[in-house]
Amino acid sequence: MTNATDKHTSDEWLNAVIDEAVDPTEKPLPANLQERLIADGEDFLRRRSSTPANGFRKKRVYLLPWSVAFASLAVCAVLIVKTLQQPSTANDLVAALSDKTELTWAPLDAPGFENVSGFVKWDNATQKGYMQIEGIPENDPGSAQYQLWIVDPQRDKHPVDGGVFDITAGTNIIPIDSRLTILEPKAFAVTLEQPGGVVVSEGPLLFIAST
Amino acid sequence: MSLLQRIADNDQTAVSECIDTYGPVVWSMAQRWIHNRSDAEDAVQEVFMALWASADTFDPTKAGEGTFVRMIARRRLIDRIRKSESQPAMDVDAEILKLQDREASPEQSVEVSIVRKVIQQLLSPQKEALILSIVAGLSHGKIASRLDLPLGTVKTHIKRGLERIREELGLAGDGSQL
Repeated sequence: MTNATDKHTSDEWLNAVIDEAVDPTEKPLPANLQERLIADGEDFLRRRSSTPANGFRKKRVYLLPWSVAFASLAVCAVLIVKTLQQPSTANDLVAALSDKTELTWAPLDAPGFENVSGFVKWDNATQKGYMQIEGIPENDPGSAQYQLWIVDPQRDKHPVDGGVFDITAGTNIIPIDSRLTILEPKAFAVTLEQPGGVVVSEGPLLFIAST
Repeated sequence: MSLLQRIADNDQTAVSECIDTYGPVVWSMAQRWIHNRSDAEDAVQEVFMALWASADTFDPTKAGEGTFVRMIARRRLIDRIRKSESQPAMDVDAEILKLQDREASPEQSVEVSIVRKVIQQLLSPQKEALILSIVAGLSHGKIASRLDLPLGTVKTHIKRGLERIREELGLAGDGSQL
């Protein structure tokens, strides 16, 4: 048992305690939901580990001198390899893709996104794609991330999660990471969500690329 | 180290342990608040995404991990209910009957045991008003209509019920929900 002292006293905490006191029921998770949650969790950690957050950096500050030295070498190595292996623009990146859909970003009514430009290219055969986005605000990955949604009425009435991404200064070339097989994409849309993204977006669409 | 602290530290094994430990609680809460099964499943996914995203804010000196999970779950479920303007699926009468028979379990925190006893001692319709408000998430207006009471009486019942709980927890004067 835990002690009643030194605890939260907020309304939210009290309501949660009342909730448990009245209804402590636990029901076994359906197997399919459990599998989806595990996939969500692994995906969340993978995405977060590829986007260092403030806390991550703070915890490793004490390793700074050695980390900086090793990281510099590693970054140089990665950059060299990437430069050799990959083209420099999104157009080049998808030039080899067949059966590709190509759409241009258009603004909606969202303030700050009036000057969005760039495009989406999607290859149904390989289920891979890239997008180039310019003219939108940079995000702080610790507090919010952009999330791509793929509208595919053949597959589902709800948009499919296309993955989260971050926008930095300048031109951004972003690979599309759809977690589900896309059948016939009709549109791509972007929202701004909590870090790691959401399963069902309730936020406004910021800009869209549609057929 | 707690499960949430391990998740905040990017420990992949903690993800499945967290789902095994708290999945049944969150699933039960989602079914209580949301009628449609597939919507309830989506809501559980939302809750866990929110839980992992806020894992680094969990402070074990301020709340038990289970209570923190319930706080996050309630926040997301209430948002969802309010946006859809639907009614929670909870059968309050059945819950009150179960409440009378429920004994303290070793896993329950001191706070939960105290709160359960206080609510058991409340008289009708104060008990119903409190449960409908906090546990079923109904608005004061809907509670008044359901219990056939004036709106002001419902608010007073809930306010006094919460004051009584705060007193028993030694939190009197720390805040009010009304």
